[in-house]
Amino acid sequence: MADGLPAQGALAHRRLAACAVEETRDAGVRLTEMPFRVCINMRAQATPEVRTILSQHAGCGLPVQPMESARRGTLGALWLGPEEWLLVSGSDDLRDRLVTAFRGHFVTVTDVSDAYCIVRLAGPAARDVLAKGCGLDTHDSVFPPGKVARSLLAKAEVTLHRTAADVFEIYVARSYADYLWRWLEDAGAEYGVAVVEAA
Amino acid sequence: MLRIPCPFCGPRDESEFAYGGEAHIARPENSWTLSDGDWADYVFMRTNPKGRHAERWRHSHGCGRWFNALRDTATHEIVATYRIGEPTPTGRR
Repeated sequence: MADGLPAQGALAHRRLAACAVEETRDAGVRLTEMPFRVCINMRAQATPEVRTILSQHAGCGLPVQPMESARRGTLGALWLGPEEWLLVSGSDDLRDRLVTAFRGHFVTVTDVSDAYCIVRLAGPAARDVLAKGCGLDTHDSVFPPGKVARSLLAKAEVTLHRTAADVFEIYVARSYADYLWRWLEDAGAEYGVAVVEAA
Repeated sequence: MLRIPCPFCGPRDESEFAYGGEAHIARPENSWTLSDGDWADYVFMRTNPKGRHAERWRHSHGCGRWFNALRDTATHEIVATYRIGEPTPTGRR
């Protein structure tokens, strides 16, 4: 972050707090811009040693099966590709801790926090909204909660993480955030959209 | 829209992928000893079959990995996909 610039979310200009509602009974989907999280792109071979170091220093396992994720406390590890993960955390010092822990190992950790905007899409119609712009099969049998995938949503590259039965967290490049938010509002309009503040 | 089964992620829309040309073209060893004609053969000449074609694809908007696919150029059927380094499933080019 450059000195003197205020830290603000990619959707700050939309003044979402002013449109946020408490009552969401009639809404088919609920949209939320999630608060800032530390996102670390990690590339490594998932050797037992690397996995042990990560679980010792970050407290989280490394999912090695495609499209799986692991979670422990506030830390999440999302599978992005073979030998590539996105580590998501609420703690600012994660990168420094990993750099120290993996010193001497052939591992890269890159802080990509500022690259992303995280939008939560929730509600009974969440899957219907996604289906309008994404070819990914999100049926429970192949994409149950916990699954993660990089894909295209309305032509924007996203990382889609299903955190609960009707909750998806969408990681999108922050330059696409305004576009994607408006697309989601439009796609969700027929089901009813409620803007909700993050708890 | 084709559905292409990524060897890592499973079936995905064609729009997530990038095409990478014919597969299994090895860079000649001792390339500095090649004649211009042989080098041009390596760089430019491709089999261009009507029918099954082994080709490289990249899951660029997914896991980011290169893999090989056996595709029928006449019907667009994706006969098989396989990881880099694995043999062509039918055993033929």
